[in-house]
Amino acid sequence: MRIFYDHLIEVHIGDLIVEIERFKITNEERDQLISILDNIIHYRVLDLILSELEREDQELFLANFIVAPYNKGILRFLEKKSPEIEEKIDNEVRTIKNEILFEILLS
Amino acid sequence: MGFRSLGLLRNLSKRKNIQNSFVIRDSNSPSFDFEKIKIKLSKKRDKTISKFEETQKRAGVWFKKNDIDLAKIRETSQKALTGTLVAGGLLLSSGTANFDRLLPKPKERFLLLASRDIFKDIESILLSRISNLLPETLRSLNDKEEAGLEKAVYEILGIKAKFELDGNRLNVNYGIIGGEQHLQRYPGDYIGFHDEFTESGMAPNLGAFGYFANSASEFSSKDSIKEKYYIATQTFLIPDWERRWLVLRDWLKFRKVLVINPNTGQSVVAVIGDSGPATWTGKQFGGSPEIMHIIGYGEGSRRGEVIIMFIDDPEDKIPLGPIQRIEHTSFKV
Repeated sequence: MRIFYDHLIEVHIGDLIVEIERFKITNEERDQLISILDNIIHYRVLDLILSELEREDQELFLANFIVAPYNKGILRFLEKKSPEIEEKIDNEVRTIKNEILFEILLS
Repeated sequence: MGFRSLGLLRNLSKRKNIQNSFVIRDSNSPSFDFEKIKIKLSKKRDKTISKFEETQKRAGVWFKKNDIDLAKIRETSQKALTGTLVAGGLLLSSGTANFDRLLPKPKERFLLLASRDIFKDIESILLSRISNLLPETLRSLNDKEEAGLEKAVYEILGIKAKFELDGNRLNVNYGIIGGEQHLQRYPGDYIGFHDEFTESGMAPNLGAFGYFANSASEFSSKDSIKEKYYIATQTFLIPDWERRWLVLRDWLKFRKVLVINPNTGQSVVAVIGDSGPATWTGKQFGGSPEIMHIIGYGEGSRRGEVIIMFIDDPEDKIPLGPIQRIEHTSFKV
């Protein structure tokens, strides 16, 4: 299922997958790594978002996110509360991507 | 690769789980210790989760209260689409609701129910018209049947749909459709990014027409919609394919079609996104998971009869997706 901020992370996850696939691993191994990467990005992005919101807004965000994580309306709500939220999410995911690429290259 | 390795590979490939998924690690591919990387990234993930639970304690409590495992949020049940009551009567919304309208004052509570009703009258009308036009057995339609169906579709749906367009025809226009998997939309695509029906999986190979976009950065909502509503047709059986395949391939690529379930009238506007299925399957068409769901073949054997017609839409005005769909919301305070 899609999450409302997927369009902001797809490019970076795509970059990571292309990098991982250079190493000719099995589909199963690839999927395992993607699942871990997805989790890391997920928690870091949510942490970022919640840090940008006041307490009451956090409740609103969480309630809607739990019911319909794909709902693009959530992003419109966040933009009202934090106008540069998309840029912040993009930067955060970019940072995560670079961290992970560094880890892979060091191994 | 030595003979011994080939023998090992043959034995390994007999195992069901890794059949068709095992890739040879030869001396030319960069070295990669998968287990080491997996452990490293798993530790990073665990550290990330711990930090989140520490800095966002209230969110952690929320997720626990609602029995949500954040790590599995992508597999959240489709029941979320219908809108369910969260304990405490907090704000709910569906994917189609205008979120701005739903922003409440801090202490107010709203319950929003979203329902998706198919406009059944149109389906019934179409069904009653086309039922009389179809042969009793599943076979190719004759000229009279085709003309009758084209007229019925235009009068009822307002769509110019043809069995022959620009001098081109499919090998079959009335046959059996079967369920297909999702297709890779761009290099690096992942099943988790697909909207719905991810349980159908993603085909390991590209569709016959390749990726829907050249890269993730070029990937648009238009590309997303095309993959969502794609069908497969037996392009290789089209009359004159061998002589004209270069021209035909480009003409057929993402060609807009109308797919009709002749037993219910359920219809959807789709694109030709792949070639197949193989003739030995006994089927003449394949449908994406969304297509199969819309025309009523999403459950059980996931196959059934369909009529396929080209849509004459040079200005690309007719949107892809189900025909005549009405969505509405109602508020209860």
